[in-house]
Amino acid sequence: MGLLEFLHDSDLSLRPPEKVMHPTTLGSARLTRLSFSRSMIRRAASNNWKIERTSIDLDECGRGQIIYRVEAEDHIFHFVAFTTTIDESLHTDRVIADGWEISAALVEGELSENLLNFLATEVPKQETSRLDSRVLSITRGNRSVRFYEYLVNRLASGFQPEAEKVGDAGYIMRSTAFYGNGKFGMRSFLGFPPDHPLAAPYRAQFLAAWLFRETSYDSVEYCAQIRSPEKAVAFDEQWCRFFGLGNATGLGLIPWAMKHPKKLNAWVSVRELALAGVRALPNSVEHRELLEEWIEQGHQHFASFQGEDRWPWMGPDSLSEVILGIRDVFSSMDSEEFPFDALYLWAEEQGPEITELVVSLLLELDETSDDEVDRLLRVDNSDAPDLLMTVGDLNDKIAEEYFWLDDLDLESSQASHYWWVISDNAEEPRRAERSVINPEHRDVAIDFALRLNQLKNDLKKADCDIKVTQFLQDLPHHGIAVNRTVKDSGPYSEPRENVCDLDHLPLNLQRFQLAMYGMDNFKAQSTDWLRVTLFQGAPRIAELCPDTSDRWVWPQQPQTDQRSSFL
Amino acid sequence: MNAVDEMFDQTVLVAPREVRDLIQRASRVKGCEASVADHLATKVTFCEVHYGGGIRGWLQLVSEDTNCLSEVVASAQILDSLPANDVSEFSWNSPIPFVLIAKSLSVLQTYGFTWSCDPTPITGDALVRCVYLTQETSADHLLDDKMQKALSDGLKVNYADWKDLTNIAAEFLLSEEILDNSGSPVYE
Repeated sequence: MGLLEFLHDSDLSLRPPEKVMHPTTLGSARLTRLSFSRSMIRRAASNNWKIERTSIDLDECGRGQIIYRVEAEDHIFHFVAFTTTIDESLHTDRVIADGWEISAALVEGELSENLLNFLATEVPKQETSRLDSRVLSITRGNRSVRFYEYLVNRLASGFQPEAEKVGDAGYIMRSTAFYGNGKFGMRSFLGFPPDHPLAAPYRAQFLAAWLFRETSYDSVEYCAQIRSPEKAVAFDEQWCRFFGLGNATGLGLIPWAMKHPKKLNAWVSVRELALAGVRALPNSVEHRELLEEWIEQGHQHFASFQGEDRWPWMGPDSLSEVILGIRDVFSSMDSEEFPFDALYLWAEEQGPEITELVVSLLLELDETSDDEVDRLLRVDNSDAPDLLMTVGDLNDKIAEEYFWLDDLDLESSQASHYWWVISDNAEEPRRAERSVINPEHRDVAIDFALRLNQLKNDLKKADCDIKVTQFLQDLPHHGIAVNRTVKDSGPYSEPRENVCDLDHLPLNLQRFQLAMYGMDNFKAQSTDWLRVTLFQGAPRIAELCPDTSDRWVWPQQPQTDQRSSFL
Repeated sequence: MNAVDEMFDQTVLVAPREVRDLIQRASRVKGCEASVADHLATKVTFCEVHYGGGIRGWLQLVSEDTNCLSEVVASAQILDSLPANDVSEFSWNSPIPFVLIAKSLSVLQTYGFTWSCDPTPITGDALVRCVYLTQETSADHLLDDKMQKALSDGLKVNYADWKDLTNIAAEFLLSEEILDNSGSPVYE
C-alpha cells in the first residue's frame, strides 16, 4: 500500500493540513522516534552492523587521518576523515569557508590506496570537488574553539571534564554541511536498491554524521594519550554519551523544502499517521507507564541543561516547567478511555510549542516498523505528465487544494518583497530584496505561492475545455505552477506560506527539517540561521549491538566527577 | 598526467541531477523564463541518460543564437500535447535537435503512440526535420534501466561539453559582494 493510499483510505483521524503545515506548527517540531538519526541507529543496532576504527594517524594537535570500517548487511563502507588545524579567525558557520579542520567522506566498498589518494585530493575541496558513485556523502566542519583544547588537556591530565566548563557546549566539533544524493558526482539516492542498508532518506548522511561525532571523540582521546601517555584517560561513560555533533544551518533548507513537495509530504505523513495511531490507542497501563517514563526523561533532560528562552522558541528552563505541567495533566487522565488523545487535545489548546512537544512524547508510543517507515519515505519525485487534464479540471483541483492561497495576501507589495538567489561563493543560498537588486535571470524559482496565484488568475480567463498542455503552449511561464498542481503530492506537501513575503520567517521550515533529521537544542542566531546538536546521548560505535536502547535521546548533563578511567 | 586528469581527459561521470541543475541554470542565463528552463532541463536530462548527446544538443542551440532558445523550445512544444489524430506528422522548416523532443516522444509512447523521425536520430544532438506518430493498440514503454544505471553508477558525459555547460551555468550565480552590499540577510 502506497503512502497516498494510507492517507486517503485511513480510518485514522489525521490532523488537517491547514494545522500541520502552518508555519508555526512546522516551526515547533521536535525530534521523534521517526527522526533519521534514531532510525539509523536502530537499523544499525538491530541488523548488527559491525563498526570499527581501522586506522588513526594524528599528531599531538590532532592533524592527520582517521578511518572507520562499517560492515552492514553484506555491504562494506568506509568513513575517512582528514583533519588539520586552521586559524580560529577562519572558522565560520557559513558554507563559504575556504578550509575546514575536518573534511570527511563516506564511501561504499573496500578502500584501496588509489581510492584513499583520490579522497585525500578531492574531499578537502568540498564544493569544488569532483567525486564519483563510490562516494555516498561528504561533510566538513571545525572543532569547537572553546572546548577542544580544554578537553584534550583535561583528559591528558587524567581528569574528566568539569561540567560547569563544558556542559553547555553539547559538542566537540561542529559541521556545516552533509552533501550526498548526486552532488559533485556522488551516488544518487535513488541509485540505492530498495534493500540497501542506506536506502532510506539521509541514511548515508546520518551514518556519516554519527561517525563524524565518533571522530570528534577519538580525536580528543587520541591527542590526550599522545600528549601524556602515562596519565591520560578516556571519557567516562556519562561523557561518552553527552557530546553530540554541532551543526549550523542556514537558508539552504528552504529551497529544498519548497522544491520537494512529495518528500515533504512523506516526512510529515509518517509523523501524522503515527500520531493518529497513538491517539487512537485505548487506555492501558503499559502505554501510560511508557509515556510517563518519557515525560520524566524529558523533564530531567531539560532541567539539567538549563537555559533561558531564545527567540522565537522556549529554552530548557521553560521546557522543564512545561513538561512538569504535561505530567500533571496526564496524571489526571488515567481514567480516560483514550488518554493519549485527551492529552493531545489538551496540548492543542496550549499553543504550537507545547502541542509539538506533546506530539514528540506521544510518538514514542508508536510501533510502526522501521522497514515500513523507510518504505513510505522513499519517494521518487519524477512523474509522468497528464496529457488529458483540462483547464476545467485544473481549476477544480486548485479550488479544492489551494484555497489557502487566499489567506496569504499575495497581491500586496510585501508578498514579493524577497527573491531567492544563489551566491557565487560556495553556492550559498541567500535572499535579496527585490527593490534593491533586480533578479534578472538569477531567481531561484521557489516563489510557488506567487506563481500559483498568477496561474489561478490566468486559468479563470482560459477556456475550461482545452487541455492544460494547450494552455501551456500559450503561457509556458506557468509550467512550474502547473506541474506542482497537477501532481498528487499529498495533503502535507505545501507549507502554508509565501517564502518571498516580507514577513516570512525561514526558521520555521528549517526547524521542521532539522527535527526530522533528529537535531535538537535549537538556538536561533537570526531570522535566517540557527545552531543545533545531533546525536547527543547516542551510543559510540563500540557500544553498538542488537540490544542498544533507542532511549538514548534527551541525555542529562553530566556532573563533575574526579574519578578517572585509564585508557 | 594524474589519475584525476586522466579521468577528465575525455569523459566525466556525473549524476543525473547535476545535468538537470546545470541545464536549468544555464537556460536561465540564456534567456529562458524559469518554467521554460525547468522544462528544458527535464528534456535534456532524459535525453542525455537515454540517448546521449543531450548536453551537446543544448550547447549547439545556444551557440547559434543566444536569443532563440525559448523560441526553439516553443517550436517543439507541440509534441507535449496529445495529437488530435491517430496518425500525425510534424515538421520543422529548420530542423531541431532530437534533445528537444526525445522526452515528449517517450511520454507519447505511454499513451499508445509509436514514433519515427526523419532523419533517424541516434543521439540528442542529431537534427530532426520531421516526426511521424501513429496510435497503436498497445503502448510500448521505454524501459528505465538506463536511468537506474545512471543513478547508481553515474552518467558518462563528454568532459569538454560538461565544462562549457558549467561555465555558462556559473553566470546564474550572483556575486556575493553585491549581495553583501545590498544588505541581504545572512549570518548576522
